[in-house]
Amino acid sequence: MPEAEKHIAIAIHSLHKSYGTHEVLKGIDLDVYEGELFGFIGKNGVGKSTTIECSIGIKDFQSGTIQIGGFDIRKEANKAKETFGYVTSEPTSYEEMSGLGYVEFIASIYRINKNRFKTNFEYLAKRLDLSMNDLYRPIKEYSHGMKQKLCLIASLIHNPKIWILDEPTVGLDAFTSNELCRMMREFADHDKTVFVASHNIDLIARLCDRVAIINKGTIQKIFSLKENPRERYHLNQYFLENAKEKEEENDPDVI
Amino acid sequence: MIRTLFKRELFSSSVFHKRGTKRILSIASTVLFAGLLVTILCFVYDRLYGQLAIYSGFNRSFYDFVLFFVFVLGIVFAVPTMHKTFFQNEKERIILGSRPVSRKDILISKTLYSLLRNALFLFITYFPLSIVYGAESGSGGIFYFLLLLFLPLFAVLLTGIALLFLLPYRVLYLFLKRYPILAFLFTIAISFLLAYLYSLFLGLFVDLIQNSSLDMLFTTERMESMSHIARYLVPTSFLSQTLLTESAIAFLWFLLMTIGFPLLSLPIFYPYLERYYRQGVKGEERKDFLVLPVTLDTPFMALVKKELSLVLSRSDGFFSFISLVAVEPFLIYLVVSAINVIFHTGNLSFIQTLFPNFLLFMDSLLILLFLAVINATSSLSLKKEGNNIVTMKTLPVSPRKQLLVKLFVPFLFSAVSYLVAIIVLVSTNEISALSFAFLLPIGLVFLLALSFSSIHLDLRMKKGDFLSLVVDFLLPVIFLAFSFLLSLLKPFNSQSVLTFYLCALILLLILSGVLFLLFFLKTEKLFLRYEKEAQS
Repeated sequence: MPEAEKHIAIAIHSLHKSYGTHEVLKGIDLDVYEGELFGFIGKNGVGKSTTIECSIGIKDFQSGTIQIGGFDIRKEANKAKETFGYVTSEPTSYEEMSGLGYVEFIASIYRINKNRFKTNFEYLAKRLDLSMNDLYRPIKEYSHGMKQKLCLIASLIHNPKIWILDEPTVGLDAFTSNELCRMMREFADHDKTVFVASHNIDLIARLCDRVAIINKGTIQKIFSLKENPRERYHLNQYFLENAKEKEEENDPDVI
Repeated sequence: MIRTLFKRELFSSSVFHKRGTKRILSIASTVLFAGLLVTILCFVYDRLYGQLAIYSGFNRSFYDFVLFFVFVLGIVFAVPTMHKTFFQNEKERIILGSRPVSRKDILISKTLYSLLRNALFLFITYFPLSIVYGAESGSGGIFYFLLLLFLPLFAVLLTGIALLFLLPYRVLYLFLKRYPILAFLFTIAISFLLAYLYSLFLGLFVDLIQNSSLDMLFTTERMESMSHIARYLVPTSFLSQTLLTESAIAFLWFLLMTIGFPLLSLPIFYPYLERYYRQGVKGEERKDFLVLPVTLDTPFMALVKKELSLVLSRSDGFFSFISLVAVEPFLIYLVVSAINVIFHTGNLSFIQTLFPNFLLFMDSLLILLFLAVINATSSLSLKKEGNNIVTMKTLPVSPRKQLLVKLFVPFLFSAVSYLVAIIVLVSTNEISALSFAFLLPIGLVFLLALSFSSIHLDLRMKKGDFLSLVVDFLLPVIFLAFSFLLSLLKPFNSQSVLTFYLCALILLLILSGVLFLLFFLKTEKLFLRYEKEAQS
């Protein structure tokens, strides 16, 4: 479908964010369309997570507009938050609860009915290889990977239109990581939107339809990989050239 | 290596987490608190010494009891503290365990740090109390010299014995961790036990104030049996004998125990520590569960259940909010009844004659201070959400609603406990029906005001600051004192009780109204700007 006919799922315009006098986002402009698997890449500390956190209402910002699922994140925050599911690299949950208890809590917040919950939950638990026995244990006893899987389930239990992931493969085993990539692809193929941030250029290049590169608080370039697969090569080259650190003057002896 | 590890332990103390003025304030407040504690201990002991002087020779035995009490208290505090030092930070097992750091060095450095803490404890307890004894009994210079000399030895003995109790404590701790309900009941039981002990001491204090004597407590028969028991209060009896009579045999016994207990406990504890660093804590084995029905609620009920799990599951140390709330009615009754006895009879009754509302003021103040102290331990603090503040922010529920639920759950517990407390007070005639009628809304409105201010200060990331201390603890003093003074003025004299209560209630309603408005108007924006302290 031509871009002009597609609806915009995530619209970020002129986003500025500062911490005191230090400006971290210097006018981010980004449109992510429905049915797109959009990659957001940059090295550590350039503003990827901050952009996402401002977009989903975790952090305030100085100026700009953000719309998620057609709703302004400031003016219609609750409606916007009903449209997406969010996963971060650091799994966050109420660790006193059991895995099932936590997902039930999230499902209750989104007003999911029992039948839909059971269907979604069993499907997601099976796909992400989390056993029912594990789900009755307190989350504090889980490994990092299990916590991450639980957070993935919690992010999708309400069947959102938009799935936002920030470094989601950290701590996952190869099988689950692969399964997650397949889930992201399937999600987008069902006319839903995936917005994934990562510093893993290979993952992003392999998976995404379009990719934006962020550096020093601004969008440097956007690559359309679906329409032009050769751009994958250019993406790699561009990213590596621009992400290259200045050569150290002294050779470190750690290598 | 031991020096590096010891320094790390030392700098892990909370005082070193702060910077600049905050660190200075923290150190100053710790020193002030310690000084206050020493002053109170010395004053009480000095008064007791004077009271007991009429019983010839008993003060010597009582000194043995004092030392033994300090010793037992030292162990009671040392064991959980040492457990925290060795096992609190589970990541340390990975940080140190994966590096060329010997377990022996870890054991020695942590034991040395515990030794330092125990020495500080003895410095503010055993040392000043012994100086009081020495001064009152006219002991020579050698006594004070030996006091100082034996302080590190006493600390070594305390640490060695505490280390012996550490393993059983660890087993109990892990057992209670697996069964939260048992842990909860255990905490409640300990809280009631401590409240009961507190009631005994309070009774002693009231006797002292009322009668300026302790004849009821110290009968001749009791003295004789206490003197007999004092000889067997090992190991502190050996210490006191050495200090007071310079007995070589007592000194040798004390030295033997001081060397013997650490030599016994270290080799017992070391293999456990070695295994802990190799294997960590054994997880639960997988069990087959029956599939239980799914429970889904409305968003409001889901939030309430979440808050309940935070209130019931998490505890900042041994005495959680729930256990304190459970003993609150008992503690309030004890303190109010003691104050009433003191000011109605005995030496301080003239104050009540001069200022008839003074007792109302004191009762109200103590009740509200109890509410403030216990409320401070509740789950209300946003810091207790930790990383879950992200979850809170992404939920499609307004921050106002989420925070109201957060406020409502601990408020409910506190309100029920408070209600029980004042019903007990009015039914035992400790307060009048009129006082009950006013204290009921005053206490509930005060709780609400505390809750709103707590949330507001939290959102402004000022919780734990000096300002928060003022709000929680000085506020009741300020507005109750103002109400009391107003009720003394001539135009209000004829209806002074009504004036006092009405004034207090009106001031509180105004304060709560302002805080509620602030909450209603500012919360959404402040919540969006609120970030975990680690972020900036």
